Amino acid sequence: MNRYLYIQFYRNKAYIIALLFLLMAGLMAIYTGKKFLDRNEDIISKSGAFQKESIERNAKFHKDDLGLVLYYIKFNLVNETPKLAALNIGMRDLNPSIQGVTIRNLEEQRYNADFYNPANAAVGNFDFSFVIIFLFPLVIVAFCYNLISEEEEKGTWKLLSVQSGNLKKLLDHKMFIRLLAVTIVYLVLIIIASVWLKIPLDPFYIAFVMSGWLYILLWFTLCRWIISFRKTSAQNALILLIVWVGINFIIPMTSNILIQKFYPVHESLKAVMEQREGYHNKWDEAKRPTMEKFYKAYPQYRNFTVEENDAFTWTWYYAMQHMGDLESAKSSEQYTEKMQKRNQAATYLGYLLPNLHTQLTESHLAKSDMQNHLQYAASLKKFHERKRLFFYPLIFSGKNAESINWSQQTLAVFKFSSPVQWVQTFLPYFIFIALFMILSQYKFRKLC
Amino acid sequence: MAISNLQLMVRKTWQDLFKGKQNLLTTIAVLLFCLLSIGIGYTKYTDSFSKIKEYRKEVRESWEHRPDKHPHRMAHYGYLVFRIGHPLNIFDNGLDDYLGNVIFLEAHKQNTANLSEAGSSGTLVRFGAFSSAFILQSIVPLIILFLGFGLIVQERENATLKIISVQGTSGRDIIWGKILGLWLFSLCFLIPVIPVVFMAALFSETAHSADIILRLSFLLPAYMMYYFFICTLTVVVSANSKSTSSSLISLIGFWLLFIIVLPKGIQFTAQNIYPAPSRIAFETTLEKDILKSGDSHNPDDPHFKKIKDSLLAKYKVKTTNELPFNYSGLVMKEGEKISSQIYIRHQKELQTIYGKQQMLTDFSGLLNPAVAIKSFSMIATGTDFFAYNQFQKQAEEYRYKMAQHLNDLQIEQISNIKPENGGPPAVINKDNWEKFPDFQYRYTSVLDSMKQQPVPAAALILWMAVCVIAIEISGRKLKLI
Repeated sequence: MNRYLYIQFYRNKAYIIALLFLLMAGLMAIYTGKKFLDRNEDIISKSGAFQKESIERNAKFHKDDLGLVLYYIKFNLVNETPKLAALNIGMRDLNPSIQGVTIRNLEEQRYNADFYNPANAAVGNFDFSFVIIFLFPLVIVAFCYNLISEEEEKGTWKLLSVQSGNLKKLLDHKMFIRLLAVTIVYLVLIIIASVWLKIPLDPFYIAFVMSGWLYILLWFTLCRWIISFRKTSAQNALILLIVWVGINFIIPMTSNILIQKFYPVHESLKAVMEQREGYHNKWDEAKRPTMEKFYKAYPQYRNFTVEENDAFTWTWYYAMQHMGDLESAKSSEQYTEKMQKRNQAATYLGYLLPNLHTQLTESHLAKSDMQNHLQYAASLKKFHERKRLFFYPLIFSGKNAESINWSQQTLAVFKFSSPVQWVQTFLPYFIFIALFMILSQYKFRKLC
Repeated sequence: MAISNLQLMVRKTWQDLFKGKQNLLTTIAVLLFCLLSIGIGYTKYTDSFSKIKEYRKEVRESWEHRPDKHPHRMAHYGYLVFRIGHPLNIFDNGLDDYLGNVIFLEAHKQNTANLSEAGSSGTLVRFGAFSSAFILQSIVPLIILFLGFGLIVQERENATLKIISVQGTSGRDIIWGKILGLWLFSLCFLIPVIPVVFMAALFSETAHSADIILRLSFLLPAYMMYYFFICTLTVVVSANSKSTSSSLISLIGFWLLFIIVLPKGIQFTAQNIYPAPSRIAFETTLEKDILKSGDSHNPDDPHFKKIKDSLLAKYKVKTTNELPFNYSGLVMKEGEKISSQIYIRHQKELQTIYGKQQMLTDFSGLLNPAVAIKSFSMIATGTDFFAYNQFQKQAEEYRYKMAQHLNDLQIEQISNIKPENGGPPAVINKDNWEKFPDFQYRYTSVLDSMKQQPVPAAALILWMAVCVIAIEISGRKLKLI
């Protein structure tokens, strides 16, 4: 009997086409990821060369003026991109994976995003997570929506209930065949991705693969529950489609616009304005107060004095620059807090919406989420300070460009690592799956 | 007589659709969702507009209240310009979430527009923002096909189609009647939204009523055409299906294809056929080109050396300090001219790539009316990329004018000889600041936008023609049993 169920399934051309559609979409998504990684690697390697070139040129032009050399030179900090990011590009297309900063004030430079075509960004990336979250459920729905109703509509249900001893078992077997088929496609795609993109088999990747599969399983259990109400095929399809549209579009979109409204990020504009005033005003003010504030922040430079009627010194100049950061620090922090709040709100919502949860989890594992970006921004700030504090005493004491070992000034890499939080990641799936299983089990007992 | 049959058919379909309590509830729910999104959009828009207005004023005041200063210092103090979307973004968010809203303008450096809503949001933003346009473009079509998938196939299954035919209604009348009835019903989702959008846009006080009316007068017929397509598709598929469920399944398939798969697929193709450079690559080549054609910061640069020599010869002096005007101002002016030209050239290349990507999307409207209406809606509401580019252009023009104006002031009013330590500083009077006009952001005219991007509108009209042909064909071939 079971053998016939397999034959029945694989004879249906529509099912085979649906599986092939998933496979093709998945391959396209992996290709998108491959392109993304290649481009990213290209950008990073080129910027390393460019940094070297720029240092050489400036150190040659302005041999005797270290302050001027450092006015121009940008130091790049790379945000390490794991191979896994190819499968979930997340926000990495909007937030650059590498940023270059001079030792002038940071606020002016940190918001420079990478170039992107907003029309493309608005449509979103066709990455692997998109295929899992949006397209897999559709095929699952198409496979399952008429499992019972079709038999009823064709009039074979009665016959089946007479012939088969255990209808529930039969239905579960049908579902299992479908789950198996979808899982095989999923695994084939994962294997192709692993080999093609050379993704290391670490806990992150394992968690990633598992979350995707649990999401697939969750949709099967949801279908199992919906069809157990024994409505008509059209009604089942309608209900499942409404769920799909609801959780993929209506709820996240509504939440997004509400979050944007409740946490407006005006602080960013304010920070930009404050840093500009914070630095530029100092040209027209007395030098002492600026220097006092600077010494307060960095007491170790108190011995580099600036006289009120000195014409121009780099000490004063970089102290002024630093004022831009100091005076906008509060707004800048508030801006970061707002972003965190926005992100937090989405995470909470994710516990209720498995699709959102999957997107958030997978982008977290792939280090392409907001949290990673915020950590990177914090580390950029530290990087910037390290560079400043390294060069300040050299500039202030009037060293020339040749006294510095420039070969040490290579690309720096930020590595963000937080262990996989297994419980938080997988509990929402288990709860939903268990819930749908119990609900449908209850209904299934009363079959036929 | 044929006309009255058609009229009867339309009226019957329309009334049937209205009779269902479910349908009425759906209509009300959709309209409520639209009102909600307009309400949220309105407060969000006015919030950010009032903030930006405040910041604009602050920027202007700080500019005017600068003390006496060296013009070049002032050029680096620079200017901040802000963008605020067109008020119709309350209706169609378009690309606004992905566009930067502030640009810092300064001498010899072109900064980009930064701080987009998306850049400050988490992953959620990728699911899109809720807007009436989204409901009308994506959700309402889904509702239409649910309302209409059985319109003909069900009558055939119930054998009522034969009866209608026997009573003297031709297949043409049946199809046209069903489509027009469904279409009239679908307008119930659309028509009430328009006056609300008009009022909301008007109350935001950022655009003239004439402008809003003009834009809406493009928008309304475009959506009507789009719905005509959706209704035609629904009824024609219904007429050619064997059973109601197969009709529903194929219609859902079409919806997925038009709304999800094709748009993403086209975007994917566009990015791969016309890859765009990264920021770092762009800036690297830009800097290299500028260095090649003359680096005003390099004392040995051949281009500037030539200028210097010719000036010294013309004024018959030995050093630049003896020239009757400020020499470094002149160098700066020349440098600005060169670097701006190069920047604009590179910027244009980048825009051309984006433009090509957009072109592919626009042309895909010929395959997919959902993309056509999406692009057209963005164009009509001024939330498209072209409109945004005009902002960038205006900002760059203003920047160039500001930089060169300040260079001129330096050339004319600053002494050629560097002031001694402790002596009077080389500054000019602060009256000059007030004289320089404020930046005025002008919305891109909708007619300009349309002239630049005629494809989406053309695609919609073409689809109308395709619909009429499809109706005529399936009307003649309608199977009654």
